[in-house]
Amino acid sequence: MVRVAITGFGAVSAAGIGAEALWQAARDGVSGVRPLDMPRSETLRVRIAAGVPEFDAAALLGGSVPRTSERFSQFAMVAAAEAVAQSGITAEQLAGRRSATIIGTGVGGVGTIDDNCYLFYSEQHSGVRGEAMSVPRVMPSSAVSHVSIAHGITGPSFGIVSACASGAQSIGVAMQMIRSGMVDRALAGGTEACITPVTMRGWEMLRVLSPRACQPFSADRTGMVLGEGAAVFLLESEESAHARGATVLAWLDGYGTSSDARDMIQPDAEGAATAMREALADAGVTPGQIGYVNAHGTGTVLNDVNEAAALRAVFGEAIQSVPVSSSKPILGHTLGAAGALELVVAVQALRHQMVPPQVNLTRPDPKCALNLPTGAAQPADLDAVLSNSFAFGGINAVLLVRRAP
Amino acid sequence: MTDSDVNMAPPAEPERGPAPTEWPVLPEEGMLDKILKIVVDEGKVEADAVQPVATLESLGLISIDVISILMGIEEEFDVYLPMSEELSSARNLAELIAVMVAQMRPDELKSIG
Repeated sequence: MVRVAITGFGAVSAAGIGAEALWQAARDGVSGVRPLDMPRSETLRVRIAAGVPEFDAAALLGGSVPRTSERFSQFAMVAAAEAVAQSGITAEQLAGRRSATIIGTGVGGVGTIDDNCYLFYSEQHSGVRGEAMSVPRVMPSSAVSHVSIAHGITGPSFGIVSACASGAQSIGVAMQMIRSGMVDRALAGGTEACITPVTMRGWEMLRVLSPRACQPFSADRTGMVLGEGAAVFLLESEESAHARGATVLAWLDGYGTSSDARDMIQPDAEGAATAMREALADAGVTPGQIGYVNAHGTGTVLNDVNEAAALRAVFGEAIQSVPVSSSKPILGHTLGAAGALELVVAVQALRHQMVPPQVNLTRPDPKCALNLPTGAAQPADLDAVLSNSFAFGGINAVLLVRRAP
Repeated sequence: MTDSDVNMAPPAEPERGPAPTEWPVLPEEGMLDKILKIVVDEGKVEADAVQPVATLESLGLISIDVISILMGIEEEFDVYLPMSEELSSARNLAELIAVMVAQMRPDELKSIG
């Protein structure tokens, strides 16, 4: 089978611009959750979020920012440019029919929807012009099209929409497309920018937003914190990477996905466990070879117990010897970007042979009972790492990366 | 039952005292009646069925009803109650209300940094 290499990756997150800023925050346990600073949000109860600080699209994209792009597309463009630069691929090598762009999002351009609705429904703004480019800004495929345009990628381009599994599924499907021979390489990842007042209110109403902090697997956890950002990977067939003399940063060896087919909100441990088992089988890796699991770990009551149960089902009692941590106290829950941003953490853990800690663990929940390292990042001998993503609607996606020698 | 079902059994839960059988004593006069009215209105249950030892199951309440009740509490008392472990594991209505009122305390909302 064709093996798929990761030769570049980029990120925009609450930790700032760049994959290195993201890794440093995850490694050192520095949270990007901040007090909410947003117009028209006075009536929100929850006053914290993990927004991207000081995002200057024009400066980052080298001048002109397309009027047809909004925040979630701009995040993806910045992350993709970083991935391309890191990979050393030339513009000529990347452009054309043999490359794909697969970038998922959970929500799409809700910032523009929010602004236009505010103007359109408000009498005091009657006659005020809305955003004329709202249609191309809002569509969930806007990010992927902007990235394809920026890099001249004329092969398959689409986004996968599966809520909080969108990023992981986009990367997994891109991997399968390369394996099948359909393309030689792909820019793949996830992006999200939905910290808007009405979106925040929607999450509040579900009672899953914490008013104080995201505390995965902690008995006193009170929910998730909304985040935003993007991560994009350059994936290449082994042959393609070697032909251009690229450095392989890690191997993307496993992708498993499943649907609970049970409930829109309530997760199912068997569905989550199935996705993990499929990722392991896809990679030909046993649970005993997994050195670290980057958990979905949202900090909600339901997810964390369910994920711990699924991990126990897959690993058995051996789960007690596998370090597990969730990056969401640091990055927030970035929904459609989460699977991609957290794969950056997984890949960097492999490359640096370090296990990032679980932060905000004030009181481990006995119902979760996992090996959750706290304090400083621990050196470890990592050969294979799992990254979990579980979405509302019961969609599960798990990626497995292995160390490149 | 398969092996994986067995493996998925969570570790033994820590011992809890018996579930309460009486309504909790609340900090404000009339607060209990307001909360019970929200349970009746938002949960669409018969007032007579709203007893301290009633369970969510016995009242026929599912998660979306509990979310509606928490929204009603938010609007009445101007507090935000996220779903917590204590809320989700309350064994009867008396315990649920005691946990909700405990979580309304402002110090519960402080940032932990």
